[in-house]
Amino acid sequence: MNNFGFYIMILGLILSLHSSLFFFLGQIKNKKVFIISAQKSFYLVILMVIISSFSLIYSFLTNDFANVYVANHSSLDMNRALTLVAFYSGNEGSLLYILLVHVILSGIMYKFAPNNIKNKLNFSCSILAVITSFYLFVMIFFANPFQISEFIPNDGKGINPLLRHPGMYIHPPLLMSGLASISIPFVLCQGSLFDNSNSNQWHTILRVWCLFSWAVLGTGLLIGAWWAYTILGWGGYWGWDPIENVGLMPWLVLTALIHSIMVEERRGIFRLWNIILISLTFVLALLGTFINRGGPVVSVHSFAASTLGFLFLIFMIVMTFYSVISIIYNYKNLTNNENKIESYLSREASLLLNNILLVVSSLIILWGVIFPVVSILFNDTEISVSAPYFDKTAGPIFLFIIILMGIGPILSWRKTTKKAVIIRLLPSIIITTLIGLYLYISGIKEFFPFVSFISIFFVMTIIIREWIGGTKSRMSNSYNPIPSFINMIVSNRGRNGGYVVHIAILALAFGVVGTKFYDERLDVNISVSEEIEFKGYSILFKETTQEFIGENSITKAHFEISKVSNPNKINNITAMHSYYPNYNQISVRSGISSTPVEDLYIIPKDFIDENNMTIRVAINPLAWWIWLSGPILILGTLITLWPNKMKRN
Amino acid sequence: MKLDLLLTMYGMIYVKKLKFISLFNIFILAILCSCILPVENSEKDLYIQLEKEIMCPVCDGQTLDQSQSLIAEDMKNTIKEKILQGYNKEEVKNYFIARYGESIIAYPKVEGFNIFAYLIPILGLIFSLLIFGFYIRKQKLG
Repeated sequence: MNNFGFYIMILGLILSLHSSLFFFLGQIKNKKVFIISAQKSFYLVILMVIISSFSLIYSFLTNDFANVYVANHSSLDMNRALTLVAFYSGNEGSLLYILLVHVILSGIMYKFAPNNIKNKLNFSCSILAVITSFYLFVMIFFANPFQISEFIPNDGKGINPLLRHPGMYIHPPLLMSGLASISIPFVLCQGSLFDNSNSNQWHTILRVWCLFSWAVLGTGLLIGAWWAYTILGWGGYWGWDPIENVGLMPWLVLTALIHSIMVEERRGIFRLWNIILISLTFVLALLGTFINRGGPVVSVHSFAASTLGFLFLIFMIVMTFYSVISIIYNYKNLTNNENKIESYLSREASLLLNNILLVVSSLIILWGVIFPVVSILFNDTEISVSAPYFDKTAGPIFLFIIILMGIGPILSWRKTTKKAVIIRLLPSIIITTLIGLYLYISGIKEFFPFVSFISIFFVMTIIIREWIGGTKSRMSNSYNPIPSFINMIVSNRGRNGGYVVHIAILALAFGVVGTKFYDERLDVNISVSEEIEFKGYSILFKETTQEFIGENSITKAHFEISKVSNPNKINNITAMHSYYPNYNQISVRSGISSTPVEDLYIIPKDFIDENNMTIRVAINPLAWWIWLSGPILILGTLITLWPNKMKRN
Repeated sequence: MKLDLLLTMYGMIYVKKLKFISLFNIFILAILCSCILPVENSEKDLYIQLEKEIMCPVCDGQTLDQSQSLIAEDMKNTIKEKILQGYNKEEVKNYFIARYGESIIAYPKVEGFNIFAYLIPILGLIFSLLIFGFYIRKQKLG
C-alpha cells in the first residue's frame, strides 16, 4: 500500500506538470485542444492526491508500522478517532494535507467559476498547478509520507500528547487550509489582469474566496487560542509565538483586502492596491509555511519542523519575484481610472486608512518576528522578541482600527459633511460618555484599558443605532419589530453581515482587554480538604484521583468552588495532569469555571504527594467574550456569503 | 524613547503645516501617547509582571508564565526569592541577564542597536500615514 501511494504521487506530479505547461501554452498559442487536455489532467491530479491521502489513512488504520510516518505518529493503543489528527501531525503528512486542501479548493474554484471568467483562468490554473507540482515534488524527493523502513517496530511511537484535544480536529486543519486557500484569491487576481472588461463578476468571485480564506483562517486562529487556553495550562490564549504571528499576519492583510475590494466594486478605484494586498497576503502565507517548516526563528509549534526550510524559502522568493513582475507589467492597466477620492470624510478614505493601519500592524508583527535574526546578523547579539514587544507596538494600532471600525461605516461614499457625521454620532457620543463616567467611577482609571473599553462601547452603540434606525424605517408595514429587524438584516446582507463580524471583533477586543489588564494570579500550596479564599471565591480541594491509560498516567485534582457571597451555589471543577512516558512529556489541563464576568482558572503546577499540591489560581476577567466572538464571526461571514437569490434572478 | 518622541513631534508639526483634518492629528497624538505610556500594569504584582517579561531559556520562544518546564518553575521561584530579598524590577532582570544573556528578556531593550526594533514600526506608521494624507490631498486636487 505504501509503494502504491508513492507511485500515485509520482503520477500526480507528472499530470500536474502537464496541466501547468499546457494551460500556459494554451493561453499563449490560443489552442483549445491544449486547454482541454490541461483541464483533464487538472481534475485528475485531484483524484491522485485524494487516492494517496486515503492510502496513508489506510496505513494508519491497519497499523502498518513498516511506514515510518505511521510508526512515528500513531500506536496500537491510539484512539482510532485520532487517525485524522495523526494524519497531519508531522511534517510529511501535513504537507500531504495542505496539498489535498489546495487541489480540492482549486478544483471547486475552477468548476464553479462563471463561464466568461473561466475562459480567462488558464493562466491562473497554470499557477495553481505549479503550486501543486511544488508540493508533490517536495514530498516525492524530500519528505515522503510513504517512506518504508527495513526494521518494522511492534508498536508505534504514538501521537504527540499535546494534540489529543478536540480542538486539534479543527485548529491545525483550519489554519493550514486557511493558509493554503489564499492561493485561490491570488490566482483569481492574476487572472483578472488578463481581462480588461473589468466585469463585476471578478469582484464577486474574488470577494467570496477572500471571505472564505479569511473566515477559515480567523476561525483557525481563534480555535488555536481556545486550545491554548484550555490545554496548555498557562492561563493565556495568545503567546505571540512566531507561528501564531505568521498565521495572524496574512489574516490582517486579508482583512484589509476584503474591505478594499468593496471600494473597487463600488467606485472602480484601488485596483492596483488590491493586487498589491493579495500578493502580500500570498507571500506572507508562504512565509508562514517557510517558518513553520524549519525557518530561522524558534517557536513552540515545532511539530512540523524539518530541514526543508530552504525549499520553501526558494519557492517564496520565486513567487514574490513573480508577483512584483506581474504588478509592474500591468501597472498601466491598473491605474487608469477616472474616479477619485473626493474627501477625507468619505467611506473610501476611511477604508484606505483602515487598510493602511492593518497592513502596517501586520508588517510591524513581521518586523518583530524577524528582528531576532536581524539582531544576530547585524549586531551579533541574541535577543528575544515576545509578548511585551508586540503588546506595545501592535496593540495601540489595533485600538485605532477599532475606533475607525465605528466611524468608517457611517460615512457615505464620495463625501460626507461634518454636520451629518456629528448628527449620526451624537447619540453614541452621549451614551459612551455616560458609560465612560460609570467606568471611571467604578475604578477603571488606567489610560489604555479605559480608552479601549470606551472605544468598544462607542462602536457598539453606533452599530445598534444603525440597526434601530433601519428597523424603525421598516416598522411602517408591520408592528412587530422582530420581522422588521430580520427584514432589515436580509435587505443588505453584505453590510449587516459586516456589522455582525464587527460585533465579533468587539467581543474579542473586550475579552482581550479584560484579560490583559485585569488578570489576577496566586500561587499556593494546598492540601486535601483545605479551603482557600481568593478574590471573592472560596476554593476547596477535595481529593486527587489517578488513572492509567496504557502507559500514560493521568492525575486529576477535584475542587469545589463557590462565591464567598453565595456559598450555597457550588461548582465542581477538575484539573488534570498527564504524563506520557513515550514522549517524556507532560500535558496539563486546567480546571475552568467560566462566566461572562470572569473565569476562575486552576492550573495544577505540582503534585507533591497524594494530599498536597501546588496550584496557580488565576482570575481571567471577560475571557468568556473571546470565545463568544468565534460563533458570531462565523454567523456574520455566513450572512455575508449567503447567496442572494433575488440578484441572480 | 526620547528619539521616538522627537520624531513623532516632528511628524506632528509637519502634518499641521499641511492643514490636514484634526482627526489625523489625533491619530498622531495617540501614537505619541502609546510610545510614552507603558502598556504594562504598574499596580500588578511585581512577580506576575516579571514572569511575563522573562523568557524560559529552554522552551523555544515561551515566556516563564507560559512554560511549565522544570527550569521555568525554578526560575519563577528564584524571582520570588529575589523579590523577598528586596530586589526591584530592574535588579531582578539584571540578575537573569548576567546569567543567561540578553535574550532572557522577552523584548528588545530600548538601547543601542535594538532601538531599531521600535524605531522602524513608529517611522513606518508615521510614513504610511503621511503617504495617506498626501495621496488623498492629491486626489482631491486632481
